[in-house]
Amino acid sequence: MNLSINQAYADSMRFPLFGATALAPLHRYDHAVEKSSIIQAYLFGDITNGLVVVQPLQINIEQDEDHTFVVDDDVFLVYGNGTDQSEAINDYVISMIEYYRLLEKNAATNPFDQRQFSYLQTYIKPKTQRGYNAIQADRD
Amino acid sequence: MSLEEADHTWFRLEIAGLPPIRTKVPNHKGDIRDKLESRIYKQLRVKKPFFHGLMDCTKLLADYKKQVREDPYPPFSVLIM
Repeated sequence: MNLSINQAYADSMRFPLFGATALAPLHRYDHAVEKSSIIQAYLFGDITNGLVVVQPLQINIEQDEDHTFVVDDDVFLVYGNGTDQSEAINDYVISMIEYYRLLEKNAATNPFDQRQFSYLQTYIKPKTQRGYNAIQADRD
Repeated sequence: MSLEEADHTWFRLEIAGLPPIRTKVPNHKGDIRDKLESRIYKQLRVKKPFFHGLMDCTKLLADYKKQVREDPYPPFSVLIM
């Protein structure tokens, strides 16, 4: 399966990301990171050409003992990691796109995946029919 | 447990009557520390001591299936209505 994810690497901060409490841009918190502290933020809007987060998805950003970062959510249990926040967020978004594709692929044959995929689609959807067609073309 | 194709390596385990359990192998160099490890055993629906039991081979697949069936953590509440 070929994923159309290259643009996700280009600039992580193009993902609309907001602080959980003040709905301020994430960079406002960049200097507030303390070891072992968790920053909560929301992912919302375009995440790649074909997919958009339609309902704000809360993510947790946490620094590990080796100073790398881990990003995850408490709904789908998807995570990403990286050497800095941007890389970890990129990895999370890419992982979420992969998770979307895996559920989409298996939804037809597994009723649990079908249910989970329906639930996931309350958060993430193809942006437009054109975007959806691009995804399908990329997958074929 | 089967391999699922993607840029990351994902594994899926199907247990009858339960949602598929998926876990992703992180792209990470060096030892996996606590925070990252916690995301892995969270995806596996077990707590840290049980996960370490699996890593130490003191827990087996049958123990894991029993654990996930009887006391998954976090529970499958998102999936099972």
